[in-house]
Amino acid sequence: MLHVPTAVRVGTLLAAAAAVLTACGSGNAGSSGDPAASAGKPVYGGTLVYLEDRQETCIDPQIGGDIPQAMIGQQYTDDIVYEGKGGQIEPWLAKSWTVSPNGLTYTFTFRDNVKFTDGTPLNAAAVQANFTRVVNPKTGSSTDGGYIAPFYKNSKVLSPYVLQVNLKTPDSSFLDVLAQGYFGIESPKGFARGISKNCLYPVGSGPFEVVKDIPNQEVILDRNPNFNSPPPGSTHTGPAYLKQIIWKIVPDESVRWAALTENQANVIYYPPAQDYASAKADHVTLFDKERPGSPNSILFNTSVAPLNNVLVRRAVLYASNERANLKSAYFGTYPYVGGPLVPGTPDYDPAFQNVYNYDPAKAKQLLEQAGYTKVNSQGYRTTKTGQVLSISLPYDSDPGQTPPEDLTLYQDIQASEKASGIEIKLDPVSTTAFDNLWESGKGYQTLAGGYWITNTPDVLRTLYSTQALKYYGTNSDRYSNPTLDKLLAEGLAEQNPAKRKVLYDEAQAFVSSQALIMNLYPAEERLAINADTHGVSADYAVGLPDFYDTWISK
Amino acid sequence: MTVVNAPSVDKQPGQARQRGRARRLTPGVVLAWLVIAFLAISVAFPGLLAHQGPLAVDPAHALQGPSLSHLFGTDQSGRDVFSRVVYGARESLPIGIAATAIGLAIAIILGFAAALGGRWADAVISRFLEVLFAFPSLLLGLLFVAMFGAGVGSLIIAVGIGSAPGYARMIRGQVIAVKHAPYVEAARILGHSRLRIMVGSIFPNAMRPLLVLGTLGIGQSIVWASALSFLGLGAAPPAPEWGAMLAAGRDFISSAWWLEFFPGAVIVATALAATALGRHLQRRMEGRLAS
Repeated sequence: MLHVPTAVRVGTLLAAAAAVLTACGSGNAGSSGDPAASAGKPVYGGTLVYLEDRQETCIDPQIGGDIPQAMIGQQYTDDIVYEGKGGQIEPWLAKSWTVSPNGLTYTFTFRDNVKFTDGTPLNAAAVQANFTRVVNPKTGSSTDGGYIAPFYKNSKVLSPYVLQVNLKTPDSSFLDVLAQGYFGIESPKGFARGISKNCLYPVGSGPFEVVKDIPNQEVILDRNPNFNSPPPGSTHTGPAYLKQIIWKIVPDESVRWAALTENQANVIYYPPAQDYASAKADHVTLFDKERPGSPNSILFNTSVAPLNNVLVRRAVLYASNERANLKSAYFGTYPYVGGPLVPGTPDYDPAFQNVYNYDPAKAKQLLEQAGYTKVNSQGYRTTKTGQVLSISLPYDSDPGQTPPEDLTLYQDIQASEKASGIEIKLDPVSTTAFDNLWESGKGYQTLAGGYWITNTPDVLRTLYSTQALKYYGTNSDRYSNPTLDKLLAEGLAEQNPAKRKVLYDEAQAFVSSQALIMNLYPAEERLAINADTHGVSADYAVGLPDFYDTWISK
Repeated sequence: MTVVNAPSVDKQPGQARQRGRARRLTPGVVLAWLVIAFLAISVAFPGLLAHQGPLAVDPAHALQGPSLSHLFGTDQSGRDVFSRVVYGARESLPIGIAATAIGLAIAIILGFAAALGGRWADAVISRFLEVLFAFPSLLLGLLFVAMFGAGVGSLIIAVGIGSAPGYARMIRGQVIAVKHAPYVEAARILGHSRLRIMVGSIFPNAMRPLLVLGTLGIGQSIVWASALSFLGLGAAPPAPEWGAMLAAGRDFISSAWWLEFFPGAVIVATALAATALGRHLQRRMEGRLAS
């Protein structure tokens, strides 16, 4: 069976993409919407200065696996397969592949002329080394490893460029996961240097090569002169146009914006929402691309009081006016996402968009039902015994970690919760302390800034399944329910797309009814580009910036 | 060790002229008193000055410039900046005063122990203070917050600890100067106990110049506390602490100048008022001692 994704899924995706474009207005998919694209023929040369809000100390996306790592990884690695505009999986490093009817055996045939920038040939053995690495718990690959390890049985090199991968149980999202930049293929010779060296100077076969890395400050990437493996969506072949990329960390969004408008940077990540309106006057092109998966949200810890009570969780959702608050905090630049999945995620069901519209009367009724029948002198609800309904909201207060718009949003939500007698205490903590909450799964009632970017509805299993709670450590809601587990396991194993959609619709209904998160907005790749820079694009799988086709006109 | 920076208690040639000036209220001192009065009302009866709550959000009217209905404009959540500045006095001033008090308390213990505890104690404490001096006060404060976490409580202690070494050294010098004074000798000859001499004779005389320093120090402490809050190490949002307001407004500096200007101006005015009053007090006191 050659690569499969079907009309149903493509249709859903296109419809969702159309809805998104209408909803955000500023949506701009690829270089076609770039007003300066007609500035002339692409020219070779030049240095692109790119400013980002944050980066991990390790820039290898196979280690850990946070979005900034994948964003830089996209510049120096290629993936096994490519996700096209409609969600279909296309060849990239793998020329072709077959899937056995039981969904357990994938056989990939790789291109035979690709080399890593250290000269090592990219062949079946090299890809096998990548699989072996991410499924090894010692590697600490939480994103990639989290996706692949539970299913991966073993792999066999059938010939120098043919690799057979055997799974323990069927995984209908396997190819989608391989198309994500998190699993950029790296040189095994690079692995041999050890994790810490590879973290600084990972080696791939992509259009650029890491030549200098000062952790958390800047990374310099030079053009790979021998690059010959562009993905199908590219507009040219051969080496990249740009000679060099300077990838700098500038935590303050207002500083990034100032640098861009003063032409000290070509492209910046996450421009301030307040400056969207003046972008045109500043000759800045905005580039927003929704990232599929679970939306940016506030996670509820369902294992501790008071959010272990579904009535309280629902009350908190009805009490918050997050839709209006999102509009004012982000100056109307983000659509609200009401359901468990971001539109554009395969099998997204729009039925849950309006489930928890602002309704203080309903919140009051639920709180009384939950036993919070009294109101204290400060206006907060209490139980008969005087227990105040108070919930802490920790967020990462280190520079560049929580956008100021989010902080405004949290305070506005806090104010609307107070009107219903629910106390939200904002708790600014350091990155180390915040990461520790996520990793330990202990010591919090809620967590701010939760999202999970992936191109499959299986994200629900990553976030809410008992399996994820026990083995992957990705279920920060601490939620566990056998009915949901069963739906998600069946969805993942189902090879028939129509049947799979029915299962995932049911799973979305279940998650929505359980009020597991406070939905906010979709994660987006948000770039602002100056007038001299052209041909910036993003990949369709998870929305990573791609500077391969980018060129600078002066 | 020499006495450092302690206001002199000896009679100086220029004293008569200084005394004359100290009795007159200069416009600067009047202005300082007005600022202090405004702050005192803000702390005691903020409702008299501000007609909106400091936390009352109104997202529909976010980021509006100064106007008659919002004298200092509104912030990103539509809160009235003037109300926040007024109520903020309740957050920021106690931090400054409490931090100075803690700094002085630590300093008194260390300063007295060094001055009266014998050669060894003096050597150990003085070297310790010199080590602390090697760190800028703000860095000491940062170190403390890093160790014990952010929050108003640790902010107060952090700023207090940061300012203690300076005071301690002055107190030590002051006590050494006073303990050889004739009235202390006299008390000793009269057979008073060590404790009585310390409490009755040394303490009040050594502490007098410290009153002035304390007033000056409050302004400084407010600035340090605001600086730490600005760095996100103090009060949690949405508390209207002045430094935290500055930090939150920073992202809007290009489009909403009032978010930075007014809290900043109030911090400067408060520090200047405390300094002006401290100096005024200093002059008056020198005048009185001289007469």
